[in-house]
Amino acid sequence: MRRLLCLAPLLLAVASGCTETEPPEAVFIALQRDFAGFESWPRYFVGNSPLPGHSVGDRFGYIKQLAPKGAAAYPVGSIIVKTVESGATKQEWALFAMAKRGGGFNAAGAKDWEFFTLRVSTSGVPVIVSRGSNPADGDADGDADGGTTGGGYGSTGSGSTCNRCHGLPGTEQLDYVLSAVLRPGAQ
Amino acid sequence: MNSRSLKQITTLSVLLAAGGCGQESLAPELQALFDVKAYIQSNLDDLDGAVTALQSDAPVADGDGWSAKSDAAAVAKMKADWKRARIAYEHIEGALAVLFPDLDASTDERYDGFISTSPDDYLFDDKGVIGVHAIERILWSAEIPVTVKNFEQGLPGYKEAAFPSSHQEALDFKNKLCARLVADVKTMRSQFAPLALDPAAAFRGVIGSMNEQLEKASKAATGEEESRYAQYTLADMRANIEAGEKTYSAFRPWLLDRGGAALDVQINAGFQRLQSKYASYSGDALPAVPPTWSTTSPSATDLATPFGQLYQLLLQESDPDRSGSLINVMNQSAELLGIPQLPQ
Repeated sequence: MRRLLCLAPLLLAVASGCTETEPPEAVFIALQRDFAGFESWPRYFVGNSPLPGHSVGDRFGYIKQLAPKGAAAYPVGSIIVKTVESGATKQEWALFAMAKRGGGFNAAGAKDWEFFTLRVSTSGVPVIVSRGSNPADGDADGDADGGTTGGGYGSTGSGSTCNRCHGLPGTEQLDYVLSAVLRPGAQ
Repeated sequence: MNSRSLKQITTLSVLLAAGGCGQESLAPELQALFDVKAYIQSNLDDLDGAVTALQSDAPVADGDGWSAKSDAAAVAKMKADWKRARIAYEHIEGALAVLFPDLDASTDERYDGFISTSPDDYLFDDKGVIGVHAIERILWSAEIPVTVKNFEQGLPGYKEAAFPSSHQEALDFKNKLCARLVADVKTMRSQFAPLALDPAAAFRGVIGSMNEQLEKASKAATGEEESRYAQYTLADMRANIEAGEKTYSAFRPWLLDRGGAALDVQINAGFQRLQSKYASYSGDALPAVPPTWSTTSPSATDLATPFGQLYQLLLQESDPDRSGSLINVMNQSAELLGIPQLPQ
């Protein structure tokens, strides 16, 4: 049964292919399962100096799949989770992530990247709290979109947005990844 | 995707192809995900058909844009297309909002949401105020209720809605505003097709959609309700609850398999309470909001009105901490199914 469940996403993907041909372009829509077990991914210390939009504490980056050596950009499907690991329990950690969605997503900011805020549930599972090009701490406007139109996130409700830093002009040369150790091919 | 995954998919493709696409006996969890996926895909197909028809039914541009008299039939047809699109979208809004947050915004954001970031003086192009409500605002521009007008006129950057009044405006309505909606829907449809849902994405969409119904009713008091120009918000909510029940029914065998028979009874009762209440009102509009209505402290008299009763029921059913409320039992069932809940 466990094996069958592991194959479930594949089965579904294939089954949907019964009526569809090739997808029009490479697009990756991350789901909750894609963040499961992120603590086992390669982990990098990325600093602890104060940063806009992030709470205070040691910050770490976890990379699901390292980009190929020498690559200038992460491939579609890549995920980087950033944590601020302060507090007595993991439930208190601040968790952010960026997933390479592709398809021209977030064209006005960190192109092709989708941002996430996550929290660790009491059962230890990372849960998506909000997502999009402008995720909020929660679904601030209550419209079930996870906060896309809610006006940003921030530990103090400051309304910071991911694109404010990750989408700055020039960051496209870094594939919008600001921490040097997390950049494509830097590991 | 690594070569091992590719090999697994190839093997499964061969196995499934050999068995055809007929009904296989699946574990309840897989069956639930298949059914939810099929439901969403089917509604995306309907949505695509409706918005494509809406664009196609837009009147041919002439020198003075649209005429209320000579283009009446075309406008009526577009209104019918719009309502079809609305029902399809509201059936799957909960799931789409989670998976396509940006496209959900460009498709379904309200006028006040768009102009809160920047005003839009030209309502017929594919920038600024766009999506289903932008089109609704134009189609029903001659019938906008006073409360809605009063609310919107107070917004910075307000621009009065109207039919296209020139050749260019009519062209842009069809080829820019409607075309953008069609393109956004087609993107959702094509990107959803290859997606393998997980239980969290499928189930949380229902819960999110339930919460939104209270928001829809709450905002009616100030003219901010969702389908405010067409006065179609109750129809939206009927579609939401119908979809909620349909989605839940996909999860039901899995829940029963996990010993959730008692929860199943409570969930069905919750859907029934809401559906009965919605069915007790005629028409597509929310019942009239009492002039003295206060969302924070409604009077007993106002709570006894049809609107007050609906509001109270939605408040109760969407309260996660109220024992036996629909959201409360849905959350309990998610827990039983091992679907992690958002931390409080």
